[in-house]
Amino acid sequence: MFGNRVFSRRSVLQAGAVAVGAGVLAACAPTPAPAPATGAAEQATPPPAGGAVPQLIYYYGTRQMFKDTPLVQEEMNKILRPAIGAEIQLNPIEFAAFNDKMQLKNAAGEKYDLVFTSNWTNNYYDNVRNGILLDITDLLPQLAPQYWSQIKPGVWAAAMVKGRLYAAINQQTWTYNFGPRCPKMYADKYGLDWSKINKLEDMEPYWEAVKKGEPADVKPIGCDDRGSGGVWSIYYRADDLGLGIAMYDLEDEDPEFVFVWDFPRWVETMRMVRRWNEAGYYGKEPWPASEFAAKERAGKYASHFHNNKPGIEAEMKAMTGFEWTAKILAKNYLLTNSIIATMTGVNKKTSSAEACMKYFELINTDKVLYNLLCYGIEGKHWVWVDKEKEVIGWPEGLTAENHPYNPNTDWQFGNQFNAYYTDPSKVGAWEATRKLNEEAPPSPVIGFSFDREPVKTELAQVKAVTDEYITMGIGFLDFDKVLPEYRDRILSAGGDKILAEVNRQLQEWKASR
Amino acid sequence: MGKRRGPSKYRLMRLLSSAAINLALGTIAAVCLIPFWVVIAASFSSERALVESGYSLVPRGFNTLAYRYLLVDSAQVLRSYGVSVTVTLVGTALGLFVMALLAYAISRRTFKLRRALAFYVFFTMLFSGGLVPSYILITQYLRLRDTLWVLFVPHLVIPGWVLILRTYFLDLPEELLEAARIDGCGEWRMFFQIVVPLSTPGLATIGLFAMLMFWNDWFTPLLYIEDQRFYPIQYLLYTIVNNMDFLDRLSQQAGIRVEPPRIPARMAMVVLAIGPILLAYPFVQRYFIQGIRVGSLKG
Repeated sequence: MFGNRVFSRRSVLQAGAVAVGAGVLAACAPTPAPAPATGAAEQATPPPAGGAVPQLIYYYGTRQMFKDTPLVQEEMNKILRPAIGAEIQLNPIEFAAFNDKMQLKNAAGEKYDLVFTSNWTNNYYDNVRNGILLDITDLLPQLAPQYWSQIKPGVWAAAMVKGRLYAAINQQTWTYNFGPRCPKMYADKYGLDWSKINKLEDMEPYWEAVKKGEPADVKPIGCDDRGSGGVWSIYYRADDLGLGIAMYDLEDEDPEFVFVWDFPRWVETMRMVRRWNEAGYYGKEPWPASEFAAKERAGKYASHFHNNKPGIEAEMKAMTGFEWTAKILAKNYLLTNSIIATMTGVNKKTSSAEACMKYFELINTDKVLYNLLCYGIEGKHWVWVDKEKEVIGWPEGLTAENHPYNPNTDWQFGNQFNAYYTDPSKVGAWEATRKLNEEAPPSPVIGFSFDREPVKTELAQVKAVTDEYITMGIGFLDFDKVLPEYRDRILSAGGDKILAEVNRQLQEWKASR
Repeated sequence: MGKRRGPSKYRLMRLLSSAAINLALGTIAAVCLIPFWVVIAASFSSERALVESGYSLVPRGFNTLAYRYLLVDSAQVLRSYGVSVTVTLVGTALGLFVMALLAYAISRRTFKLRRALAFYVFFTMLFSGGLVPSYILITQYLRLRDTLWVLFVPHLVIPGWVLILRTYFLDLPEELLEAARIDGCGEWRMFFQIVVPLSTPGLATIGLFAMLMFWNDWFTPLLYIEDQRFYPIQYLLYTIVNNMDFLDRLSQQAGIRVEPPRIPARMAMVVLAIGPILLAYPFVQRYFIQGIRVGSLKG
């Protein structure tokens, strides 16, 4: 709640950033790419066209069904057949039904090969526990060496369960990039100078000036009644796994979870936020969450705290129509949840584990193949806008409504940094994002993930309490007065059980490492 | 002319009382209709107007965006209507037939296995295999996935309704059937020409239930249908609206300027989904009235 509001899904969606402007479709360039660097071994067995090659059945989510999926599949197979001696069968399932359908397929022991798995749909840990996913710890480095070396060992560790790996990680934005973003009109008018802003408190003169100079309905800091506008825990170097009531210190090498009120930097932050609120920087009352986007588009705030990933200014401009400026003020860390948010697993019943590994190698290294899956066929689904800079656009006559192939979920398919840009203003964003990912140190407990099942009831009860106090994170409650009551209510809702369970699991995980 | 006074006073009272009754009934009718009208009005409103000023009887910011959004792929919508109508008609007819036969068999006192069979039906009400075994049976043994069949075959017999029908058939006087038999009537003829016509209200009730069930079913396709050709209208709308929420979040992150009309589209979905099934009510109502009119045996 107050702290880390970035839930896994959000980071996935951030990853979806690719499709700017007006999603674009990419596809395979005209030349069927030769398999780059896939071991020569497979080359020896070029399967006869139409012969019995392994069919890799691939389940993934889609926001709607696209009628040209079979065409894209055919194009992909023109590359895959000679390169890895297997063919792919694309089986998109609508996100609305994806989790239910995969659970049933798994429970029924259905045979398939590849599947999208994460911590927000088709749960990775459940799949590992239920023995659905194949252990690829040894196979992957051996059969997909290039892909394996793209990702740091520390990051692979994030996806491991008891030291074993069960899914291939899709590279995307893994960092939280927390900081303020401001409409440029206000920043310029009130002389906001990023070079002088090194922590959130440095924004105070700016907020003060906005409060004095703008009408009352323009908030210095945008906020809503779901707590948006609060300070994320990553800013004070803590990770709460989205629990809200307990967190651990990212700077501690051997951390334990403690209640938020026992975490001094949380208490300080809450007091700071309360001070801002009393100074009127959050306005009279928070907006209803459902209106936040409309207020944003209307330019009703002078700053907001969020994930300022590379290219965010262009994205915000596309969304609101006016200029933006932003700065990252928090140190970035790699957390388990952002890494495991987008992965592809292999089913234990796969017809060819080897072909699956080779598929991973190719989809993560071969731009042509990857963009074919992401955006479709060149000329038919997308055209070059700027070939040198790898910017693509839609052909004449295609719109978001009638596009026959526009999945817009490149983060789901492989290395997002290989995706073509769909908006010229984003050129270079992948490089910058990759750099942020690489520079971010891993959390001291990277790879640890909390199994919520044993304390499901308590979590629900506690959430009811934290929801009630949600505006504490944006200073609308008198923090020092409310805290004792808040603490009591959390404890009586079963907060101590949750803390004990998360620490127990953490100890167990440390022991197994 | 003096005559007119009395009757006119009387007529006035009659007029007043009928006005009062009409007003009362009209109010009740309006109370039933207004929510539906509000839904229709909302489906033609703009999302922003709904968020800012709430629902009203007149569409605010009139537009047809929600319908255009849902009907983008009109060929698919038509096909889905086709699927729904087919499944509803075939499913209802077949289901009613099978259930009536089963219920009739276990209602006949002369049938030896009736207790065993009735228990078998009853048993499945208490214990079922559960979702996963059903799923395995249907997908791996019956191989019904991605077929039209799966949309109605698993729902042909609903045990609870069989028991209702059985109770209905039990009320038919045994003497009537005996009389028919003495006149040389065979079992099939007895069922179709005597039992069925006498039981139209019961059959109509179950038929209506079945029709609604088949029409409203989105869960079966959620489980078993991946091929869009076999999406019934309810499931199609369900996925469009659900995916819209996803798209909305995605687009915020991706910076695409799409504002899917979420609330209006939900309302439009109600309107689209409700349409044809409304016709079922007046159609079935005939049988309720007819059933009541059919007299029973003379003492």
